Amino acid sequence: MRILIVEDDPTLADGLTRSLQQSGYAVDCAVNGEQASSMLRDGVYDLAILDLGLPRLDGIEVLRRLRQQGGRTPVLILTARDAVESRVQGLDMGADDYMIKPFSLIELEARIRALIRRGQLGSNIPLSCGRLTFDPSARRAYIENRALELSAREIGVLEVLMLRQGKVVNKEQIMEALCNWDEDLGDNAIEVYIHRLRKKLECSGVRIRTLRGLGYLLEAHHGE
Amino acid sequence: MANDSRSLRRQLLLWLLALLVPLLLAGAVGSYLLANHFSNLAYDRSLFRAALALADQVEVLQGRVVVDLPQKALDLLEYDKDDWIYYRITDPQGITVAGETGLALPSHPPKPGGHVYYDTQLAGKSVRAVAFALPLEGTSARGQALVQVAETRAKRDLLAEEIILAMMLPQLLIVLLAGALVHFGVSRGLAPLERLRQAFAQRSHRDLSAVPCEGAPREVLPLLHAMNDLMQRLRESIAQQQRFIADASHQMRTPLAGLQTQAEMALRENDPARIQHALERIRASTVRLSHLVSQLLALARVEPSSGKEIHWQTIDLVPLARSVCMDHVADALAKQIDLGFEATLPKIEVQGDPLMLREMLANLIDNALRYTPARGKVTVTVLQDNDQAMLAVEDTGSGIPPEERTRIFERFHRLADSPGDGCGLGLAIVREIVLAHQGEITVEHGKEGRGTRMTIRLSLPAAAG
Repeated sequence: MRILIVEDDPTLADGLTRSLQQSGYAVDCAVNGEQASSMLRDGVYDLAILDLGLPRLDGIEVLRRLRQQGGRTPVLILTARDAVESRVQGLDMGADDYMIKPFSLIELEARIRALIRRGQLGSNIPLSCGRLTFDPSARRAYIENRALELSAREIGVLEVLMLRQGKVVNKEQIMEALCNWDEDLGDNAIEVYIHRLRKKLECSGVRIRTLRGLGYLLEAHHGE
Repeated sequence: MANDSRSLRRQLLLWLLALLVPLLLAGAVGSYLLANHFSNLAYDRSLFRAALALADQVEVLQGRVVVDLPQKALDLLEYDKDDWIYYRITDPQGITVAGETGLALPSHPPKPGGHVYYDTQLAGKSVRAVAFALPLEGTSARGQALVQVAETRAKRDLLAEEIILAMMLPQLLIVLLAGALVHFGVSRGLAPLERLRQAFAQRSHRDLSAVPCEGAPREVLPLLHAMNDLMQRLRESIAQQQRFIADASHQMRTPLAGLQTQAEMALRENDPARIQHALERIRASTVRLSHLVSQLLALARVEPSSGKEIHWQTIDLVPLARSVCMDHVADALAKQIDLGFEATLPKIEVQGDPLMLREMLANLIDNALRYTPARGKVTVTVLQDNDQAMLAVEDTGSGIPPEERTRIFERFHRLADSPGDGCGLGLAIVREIVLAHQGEITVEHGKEGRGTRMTIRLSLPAAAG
């Protein structure tokens, strides 16, 4: 995994580089917008972490050029501008996520993992969470190496939750994922699938949490 | 002030003149009429005497009226220092026997033996005339002869002028005197204001003490009271601001001092465990400081003095509140708090600024998560009640004592022994946003008497206008 950090503040750039290297990523650093723009052109990065207030070329402009040239590198914006307009502008320009400075490294790393996962969506790389593995190409789930008996719809629900693990998935999103299949699905139907999945995922080190009124969330859990 | 059209002095003078000038004019007309009357009264009698003297000279000879006027008598009659005198004697048949034929007859002839005074014109001059009807009984003629004497008005006019002058001069003097008095009185009356002006001009901009009211005229007192009231509010607002700055600097310096101490200590330390501990402390201080800075900025943004205008628009509260809840799921999970969302209708619209409303709800949820112990519950509800939309955040925390429920909205006010690491600005931000939206916020116990329920009421679009 290769990550490009575009940040002009040396202390922050240094901290980010070291910690991401520690987590096993290959990291390059650009200190201004023009440099970043040319480094991104070749599409060798799996992710770019982009500061907005950059010398020479503004971060928004870097992003705009990247997307204009058809670059699909996932971009996470880091900004000290907390006016929400600029966040929205960044997302409209094709950023995949944003964080406001100051931020916690733990959260940044979680988001990086999620973005990289999303980048691999089409690539059919197996997804894992706790002791659970999901193979998108075979559409099968395993606990350690034991295959789970799941219906097609249960697989569909599990796939959405796995792709967005650690994030809330609402019922509409689950329904959308299942809509290839068929007829109407009621709210209750989804609750039933979730209930069944929970039973089958016992002892997998993974649990599905219900967030009242918001949706479901898949997370690894330890102990208990 | 004197050059201003709204000058008190000028206004008073104008009103006074508006009153006195018509009076003066009426007085002038009256004086003129009176003067004429009295001067006529004085000179008419001598005119009549002349007419009688002339009548004495009228004789009747063989039924014909004749007048025998020696030149001397004529001279005497016609002689006057100031005026021209004319006469005319007409017999009963209306034939002029002697004198000026151009002298007009009176419009109402006098009764026999009687006389009338009248004004007429003669040779282009205005004259005063008397006509005396001389009875001819006891003579060979019948009827009456008419004896007219007229004189120009020179001495009458002179007398009238004197009378008018004598009457008008004092009136004019009174008007002038009144004007002068008003001018002087206003200046004197405004003197206290002038003293006030000087007092204010000499004041330091830091001096917000009340202006003394002694010696001020009663009319100025309300103004003074209003000013002192404003001063009082300014003093309070400045004191509040100073308290805020003092609090803010205390709140910022404390974690900064902690940071510095821990960093210096870590640099000196060799034991990895202790370095680790120092780093943990540094991180905790940094988190607190970042939270404080972003809260201070948020507060500055939503304060009325920020000069930012509200971008009013119609917003559906349901997706807005849901999305803010989503933003807090990670925090809730980390604290093992069951965060839930409920909406009683699929769509509840209000009039407001979406960014501010998000900020407001985020602070309420953040607060609830901060002060609710692990395994507690936080529920966000959007509901509609008659003509209001309500946004409620309820938690199962330790609750807020009733006596604290208004103070919690003050800046940097934190409940005594409250857990958590809030900076005491969240609810101040919430209050500013609620005020900007003309909404209301209430604090009460949660269901079953536990925890806290904060409810914000906002107008629906139709009612908000």
